[in-house]
Amino acid sequence: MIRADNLWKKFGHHDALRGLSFSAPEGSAFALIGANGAGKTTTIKILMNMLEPTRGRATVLGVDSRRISPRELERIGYVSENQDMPSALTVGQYLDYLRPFYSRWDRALEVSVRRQLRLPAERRIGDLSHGMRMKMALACALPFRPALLILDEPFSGLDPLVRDEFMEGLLQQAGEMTVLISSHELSEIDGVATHVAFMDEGKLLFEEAMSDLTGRFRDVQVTLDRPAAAPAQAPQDWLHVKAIGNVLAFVETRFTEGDLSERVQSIVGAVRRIDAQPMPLRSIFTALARSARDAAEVRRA
Amino acid sequence: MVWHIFKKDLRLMWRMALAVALVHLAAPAILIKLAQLGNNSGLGSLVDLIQMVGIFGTAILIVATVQQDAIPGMRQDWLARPVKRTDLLLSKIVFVAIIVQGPILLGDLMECLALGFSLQSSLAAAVSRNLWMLLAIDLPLMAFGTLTKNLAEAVVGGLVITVTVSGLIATLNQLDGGARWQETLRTGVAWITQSITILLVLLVTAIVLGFQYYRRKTTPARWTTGLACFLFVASLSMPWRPVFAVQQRFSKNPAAVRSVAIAFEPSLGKFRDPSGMRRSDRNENETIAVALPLRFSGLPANAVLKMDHSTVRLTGVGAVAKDLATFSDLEIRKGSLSAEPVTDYQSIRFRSEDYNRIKDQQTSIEIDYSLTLLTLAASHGIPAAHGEQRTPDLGWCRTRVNSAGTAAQLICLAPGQIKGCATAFLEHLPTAIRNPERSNCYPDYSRYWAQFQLDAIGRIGFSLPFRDAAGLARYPIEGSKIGESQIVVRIYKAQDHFTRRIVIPEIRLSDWAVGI
Repeated sequence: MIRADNLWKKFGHHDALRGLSFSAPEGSAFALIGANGAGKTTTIKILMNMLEPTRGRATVLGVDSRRISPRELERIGYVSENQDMPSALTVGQYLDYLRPFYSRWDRALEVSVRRQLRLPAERRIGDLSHGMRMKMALACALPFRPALLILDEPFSGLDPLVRDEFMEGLLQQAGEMTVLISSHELSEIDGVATHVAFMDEGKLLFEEAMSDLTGRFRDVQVTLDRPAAAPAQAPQDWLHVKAIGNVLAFVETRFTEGDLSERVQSIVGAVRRIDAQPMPLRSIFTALARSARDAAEVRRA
Repeated sequence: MVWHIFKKDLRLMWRMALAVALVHLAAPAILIKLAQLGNNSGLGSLVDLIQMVGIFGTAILIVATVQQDAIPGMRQDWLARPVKRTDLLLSKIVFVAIIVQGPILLGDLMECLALGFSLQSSLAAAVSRNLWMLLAIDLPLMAFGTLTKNLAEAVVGGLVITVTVSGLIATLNQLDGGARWQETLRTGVAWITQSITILLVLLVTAIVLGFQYYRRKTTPARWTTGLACFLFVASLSMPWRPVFAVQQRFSKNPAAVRSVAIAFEPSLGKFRDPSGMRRSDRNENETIAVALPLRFSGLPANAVLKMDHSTVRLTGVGAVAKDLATFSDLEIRKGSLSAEPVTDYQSIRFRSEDYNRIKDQQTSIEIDYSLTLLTLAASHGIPAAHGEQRTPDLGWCRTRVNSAGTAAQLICLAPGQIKGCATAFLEHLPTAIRNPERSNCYPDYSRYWAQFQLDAIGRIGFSLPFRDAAGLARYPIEGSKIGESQIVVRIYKAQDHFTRRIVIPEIRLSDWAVGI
């Protein structure tokens, strides 16, 4: 559905993207995660052909992003935190304007979405609050039942109530559509995304199905009979290894049920107890981000 | 979807469009009143102001309309919508043609019809002017609009372009010691230069619109526009010869000038002012005029020979001194009575230091003339005071005596552009006595609407003095005879454009200097 191959984007001397590659399978809810400035919006602008990549190639719905035509755009819904809509038109007038561009526009769905998002038809777009404008953008993106919905930081600046309304509106209509959602807030995509890609400084750190990711990460605490010490040669799969008293703690990144005890004992010797807890998404990303930064600092040093 | 986008733009822009339309409709309404009242400097100034506001309003309206779906930037919602670029471009063109240009066309039509001209001639004039404006002004403004995101950017960009182009022109004028580098402008062949300039502007417009609507390449489009500013200035400096050669190809009657010859006629003697006054012809710029007597033979009856351009070369004073001298205009008129050749003086101006250096040396002068022969196309007599007449070639003409009682005035209004050359004189009907003929000959040899005009009405006027308030000059027809006199207006149309060279061997400039 979406594929990026070695995407580079330069703005002057700054590399916003540095060889980004990922692919979002059809029917997935693909989350593009990263801190501000990681290159998420640049990636989405390239996918939407609003920007051209300096190098590399992206395909959307099987078409080179540089050749996206109205035929493809009729199947893509796009919602962005900074989307300029004609401020002098009312909500109703703008929906009236957009309707004829889409052959599959469902008028009943439009009414339903607008009602659900509580958008007043007669209100001028320029008079809408930021949250209402985001809901407006979503209301303009759903009625034609897009095959692909691209959401660029859709929750940025939304209060919890509006965010919930937005998500309800989105989830109820999601159906079979593929969703690409970019965010720097992990809690926003938790429970929504089926796949996740983590970006940092224009590069992809990893890309994985959410179930695999949450399945292989564990917060491990090993209790020893003696004072613990970090092993001199800890496996690469272990992140943030630290010893506190008799406890050795680390993040296991290749967890599989059954062999953890055997692997730990082969490295640290006899143990009294091993406790491996599933990790919340936020902790996984924090661990990964910190690890990536540490590695970068080591490289720089 | 063209109309659909058009309607959206209209919904967004109707207030501004209405304001600009009202301005454009107000100007012709006042011009109609002005034409009925005659001279009224207050209303004239108001029209000038309204027309200026109208031009700025039009520019802002066009740019703002294009910016409703701005091209530069990445935040515009339309970029993510299935909007065909061709539909978007066409919708903007339709908007400009109907909403921007429509009221101007309506105003032009209203003005022409209100002044009593036929629907056909009114429509022809209004459509011609509006088509010219659409191609030469509106579309380039549209292209400019696509380079900017908002009005602030457009204003800054417009100022940069204006300052760059004006600066270039001013610099070239300074370097050239005048505006000789624009030698085809302000002549009858200016339409060729202007047409080439407009074609260039249209080409750049097409490139910019293509870049922007189909590729969204704002940076190359901006560079193209910058380059076009230089090309625009360069296109104004079209060399005379090729432009005149093109004009010659459009000659209506190339056989008409076969027998026309120009020769140096020293037997006429040194120039004497007809008033008998001796004057030193030194102007503020310290130039000295040399008046060379010339004979023009082979001219047909009722003709005007108009000098479009000339170059002079002096030899025998060292190297060839090509740019030493500047010329004054030459306009030779031949009536129907005489078969004799016409004589006149060709004035050549020299800078004082140049003149003083070579005045007593034997000098050979070569003059290359580019000339146009115009022959009488129509002649109309209108009572000199309170006369009114409608003619097919001059339109609606009215006469009156000015408030000081010193001159009879004629003003003619016609739909479209008045082309050709006109002369006028006062004639006393009982005695056929005439006052000196006055000329209004700034011809435009184009065959279509080729230059900017503030409205769809062409105007031509004469002020024919019959009394000198200071009492120094006397006229054959004086105030007492005005009631029995008519203003005779003659229209001359171009027949042929041709060149002649005369060589005047071995003269001394001091022998022909004026007033020395």
